[in-house]
Amino acid sequence: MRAAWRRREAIEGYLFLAPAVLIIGAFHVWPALYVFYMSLFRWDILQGAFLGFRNYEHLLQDADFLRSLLLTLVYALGTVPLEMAAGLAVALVLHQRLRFRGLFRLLYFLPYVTSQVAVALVWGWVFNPSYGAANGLLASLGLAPQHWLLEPGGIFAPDAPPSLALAAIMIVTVWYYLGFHAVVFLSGLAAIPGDLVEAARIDGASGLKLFRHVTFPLLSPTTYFLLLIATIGAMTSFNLIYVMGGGGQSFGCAGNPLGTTQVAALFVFDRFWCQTELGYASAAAFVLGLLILALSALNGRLFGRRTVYVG
Amino acid sequence: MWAKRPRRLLLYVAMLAAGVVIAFPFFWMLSTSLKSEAEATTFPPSVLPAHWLFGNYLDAWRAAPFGRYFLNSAVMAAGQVALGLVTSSLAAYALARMRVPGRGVIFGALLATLIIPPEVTLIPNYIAMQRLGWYNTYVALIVPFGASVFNVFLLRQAFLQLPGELYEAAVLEGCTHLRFLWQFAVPLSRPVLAIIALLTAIRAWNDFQWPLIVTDTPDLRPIQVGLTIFRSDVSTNFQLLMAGSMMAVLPVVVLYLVTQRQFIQGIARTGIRG
Repeated sequence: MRAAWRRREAIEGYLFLAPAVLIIGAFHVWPALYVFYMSLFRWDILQGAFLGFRNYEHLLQDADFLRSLLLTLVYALGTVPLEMAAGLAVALVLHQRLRFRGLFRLLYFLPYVTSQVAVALVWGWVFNPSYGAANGLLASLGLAPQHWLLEPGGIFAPDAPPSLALAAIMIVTVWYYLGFHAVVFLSGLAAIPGDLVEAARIDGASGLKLFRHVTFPLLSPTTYFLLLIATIGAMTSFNLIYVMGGGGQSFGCAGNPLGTTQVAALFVFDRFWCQTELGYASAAAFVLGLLILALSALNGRLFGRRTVYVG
Repeated sequence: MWAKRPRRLLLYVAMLAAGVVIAFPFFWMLSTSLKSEAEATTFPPSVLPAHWLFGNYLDAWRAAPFGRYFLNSAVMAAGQVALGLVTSSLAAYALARMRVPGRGVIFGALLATLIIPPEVTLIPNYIAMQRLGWYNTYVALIVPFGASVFNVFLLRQAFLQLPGELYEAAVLEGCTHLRFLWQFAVPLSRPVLAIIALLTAIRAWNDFQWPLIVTDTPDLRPIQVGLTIFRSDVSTNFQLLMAGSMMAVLPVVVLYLVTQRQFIQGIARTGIRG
């Protein structure tokens, strides 16, 4: 009697789990394996000849692919630390008893809820070389106008990444994600036990010292979590770059100008969607996926251990 | 006391300056959307329109099937919300409150799938849509996003916090799991369900890459894809492009302003990054 009831509950439980597990399995897990299978073939519109690892051999010699990896790295290094630092600064200010802090929080978070396509179009217009507000500002300061999203020249050296175009996209990225980091940091700050901070205060810690030795270490689970999420996000970033790459004139499969904004996600999309080389694009996607996994693991080794958990 | 005042003031000034930078693109979008074509394309640009041409919105609305785009986005968002709430409630309930052999393993496996980046699944999912005959249908816009591990995780936490006595009393009365879920667990977890619905809806509304590759008619394209096509159509009519962008962000901005508290709470809890 009891065993039969148990069995019934188990079956019912599996039925409850089935829809979610099926959807996640079919559209999230299975494709991650199938992408490797696809990468072993010549695959244009239809599946073609088996190639073994030749797509991968190709990739390693493909200057466009290698450049896209470098640009992804530059993009991640130029955005993640900046948006995290700015987000933390904002969170620290908003954590204090400040008038209008609800209003500030509302405002800083606004970019994050709006669509990346729309804000990319707006920023594309701000950066318009002929009529844009960015050049308007430069003109009012007596500075020379720039080509912004159409400028392939590097900001540090003419031939070194990031190009001014990519740098402009990086600014927009930081603008977009700052509020997200601030909100998550704020919830991390709220979770720090007040008596710990109070005890440190009584012991004479204040200002920078308090932050360095008490607040920041206690915040480390949040910092680590954000670092992980933001790094993965930056490595797969697509929408902003796709819509702004090409200076708002055309869509950025090629990562215009002159490929200087073609990060890895764009390279994959270009070979997949614009060139219909699905097998080759799958190989690139698989490599990108492995790189992200490796980086996440490295993140865990470097920072995970130094994380301080309370409670 | 006095030493604190200038510091405070400096803080306000810094926050305000940052706020201006954050808000500027939104202001610029609104300002440009009300200018005439001639005024939008003068340099240096004027800060505010000389005449406020609200008719630009009507022109933009007429220049592309925005009504259809909005409808498609609404269907996509509503579908993802409805399906997502059902699948994650059922799964979370089984994981939290039912004696299912191997549920720890199943939960662990679900969490492990979070490490798979979406870029990797894009191409095979595109092929899957073709083979399933879902290409260019609402099904393709809804079903692949009909379950989320994050939502299962959040709801499981909520269901675990339900009082055990309530469940035992209900079982004594002969209540089945499905009825308990529907009559007690779901109503008692309404705040979490609201957060999930909100985040899912906004995410669906803003989604771009997936609908771009699985739809190719205006009848199915959601607003974000429609907006990129609109850009190609209006080319240098920047005031129309800005009016169109404004229309595309407005529903979400309004929703955000109305549900601000829950929304920010949701982000803080899940750390979902789109």
